[in-house]
Amino acid sequence: MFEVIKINNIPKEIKKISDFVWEIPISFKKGMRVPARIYASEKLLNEMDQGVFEQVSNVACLPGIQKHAYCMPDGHWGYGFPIGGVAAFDPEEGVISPGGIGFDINCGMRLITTTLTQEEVAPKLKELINLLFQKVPSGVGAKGFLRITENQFKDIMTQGSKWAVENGYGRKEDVARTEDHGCIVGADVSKVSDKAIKRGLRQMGTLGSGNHYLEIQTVPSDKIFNPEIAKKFGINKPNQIVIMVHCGSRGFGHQIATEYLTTFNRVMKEMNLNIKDRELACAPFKSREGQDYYKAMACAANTAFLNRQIILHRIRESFQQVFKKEPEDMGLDLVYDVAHNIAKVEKYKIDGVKKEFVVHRKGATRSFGPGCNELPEEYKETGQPVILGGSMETGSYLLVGTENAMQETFGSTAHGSGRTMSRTKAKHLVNGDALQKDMEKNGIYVKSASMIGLAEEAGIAYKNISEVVDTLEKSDISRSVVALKPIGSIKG
Amino acid sequence: MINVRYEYLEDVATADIAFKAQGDNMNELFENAAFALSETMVETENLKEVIVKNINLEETDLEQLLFLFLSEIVYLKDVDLLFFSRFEVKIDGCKLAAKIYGEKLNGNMNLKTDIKAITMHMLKIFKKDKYYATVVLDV
Repeated sequence: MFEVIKINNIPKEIKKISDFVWEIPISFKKGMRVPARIYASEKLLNEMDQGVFEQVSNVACLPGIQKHAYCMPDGHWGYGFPIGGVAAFDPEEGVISPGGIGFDINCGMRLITTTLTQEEVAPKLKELINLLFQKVPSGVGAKGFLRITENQFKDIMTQGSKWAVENGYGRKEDVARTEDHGCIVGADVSKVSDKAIKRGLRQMGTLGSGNHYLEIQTVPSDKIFNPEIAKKFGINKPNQIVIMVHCGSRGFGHQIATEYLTTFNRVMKEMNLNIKDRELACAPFKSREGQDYYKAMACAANTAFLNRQIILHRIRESFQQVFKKEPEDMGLDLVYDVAHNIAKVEKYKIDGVKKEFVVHRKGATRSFGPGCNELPEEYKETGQPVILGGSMETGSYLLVGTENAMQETFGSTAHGSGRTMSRTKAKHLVNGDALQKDMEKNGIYVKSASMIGLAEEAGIAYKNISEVVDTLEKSDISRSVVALKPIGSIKG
Repeated sequence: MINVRYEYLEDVATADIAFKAQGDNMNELFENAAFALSETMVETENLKEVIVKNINLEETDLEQLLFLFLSEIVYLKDVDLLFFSRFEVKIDGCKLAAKIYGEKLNGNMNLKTDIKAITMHMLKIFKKDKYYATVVLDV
């Protein structure tokens, strides 16, 4: 029988590896194949909910897992994997699990710089946000402006961001500045159901709901921590305006995940395989079911890259309309686009040997260090831009990937500030309308498709993002470049 | 908040929404779980019963069956913009036949939280004094 656990119990078996890394040994739970490692300051560790320890140790039980099951400092209780979970599997002996990716396949972040300053944007901020609210629809029933046929949608599944650029919705350099060039290889449209297509077809160019957002942010003068790298990322002056987008593959990805979760559970039952949580249903990566899911997941991931690219196009249009200038004259350059709900085949050198791994990131971001071939030329020296989305009231961070992440965490880091309060509790404590007014008083103009949704996203429901960033810095799995403060926001 | 048909579980799955539905029998349990899902998405009080959908499903166990049934309601919300307030469910072994009543999204509706998917995390059907089901919804 199910009981709600309310006490915060750090497992007594936990070992301190360093001030910012903690290990749950395999003796913690029967079936663990590798230890679990949690990246957190002592304070963040103490604040983590019981679900994190249970879930990360469940992940450590999955067949073929390599080195450790990881949880990042923004980690919290999710379903299947914890949010902030990372796990790498041997492609031959290991598994793939939809619960290690999430329903919103390739939910991710995109950061765009402008040449405008806060002083220039402030007088037009409301007009800009109101226009963006129309041009980037959000909430239930929202239809994107992209009218495509089923065949075009299938092209998008295999081409991702490139399709957008070829059809006039982006610049060539946008593709280079997207993780995997906005297209994961191996997508196969025959592995996607008609139901999934029907659910996703009209949603390209929409934001969605929940914690998805589009924010206008500014770079406070005292928050440029690494001016040299900031400059390489296109941030070169205080009070510069940037735009951050957080969304994913919409209903298309949700449907694919739902259907394959059912398939995997049936297969596991037939094979008499037992897992700790049905949401962790998995199949051997090289099995037919495993490969089918990977190919369908890649379709969803590529539509998510496309979705964020279409949103960037709408942002450029909106700035053009409001400021009466060509988009190119205001910069509006993509810094980078990163996925944080994904599984991918990546190469790492482990114990002196370079080989492939199936890396799952569920609410965790790729954090490739300097010198990685996968990065565009301009970022080869710096390392990959890492975008950490914070709460809508407190702000976000731009960081950079490190060599150490490649060694320690399969090139992975955190994805945000991480929730600390449940949605149900937050909406009991916060009134959406009052919050909207308060935020405006504090210099953040916000429009939301749902006032209840807004209340659920209140700043008090999130961890302190500075604490999360501090852990990432001290454990050297990414380094901070600038902090970003919201001044305008569209919430899903 | 305690409700006779279901209650929300406050401290489960931080970023998502969890509820425990109850029923005197399996049919009622499925009806109340579907009602809890609907109430999470929209204020059901003023929904009209102008559209009826028939849902027939078969699965290998009751928990998977509940997962599929609730997933279907989320699907109808996204694709046909339908919201439902009344459910008639008949469970026979691991087969489900349901009639669900509601209407299409319109300006008079008070939408609450959009649900992306039903998760299988902690998805459990159990019997004590009554039948219960715990469900975590992905937001």
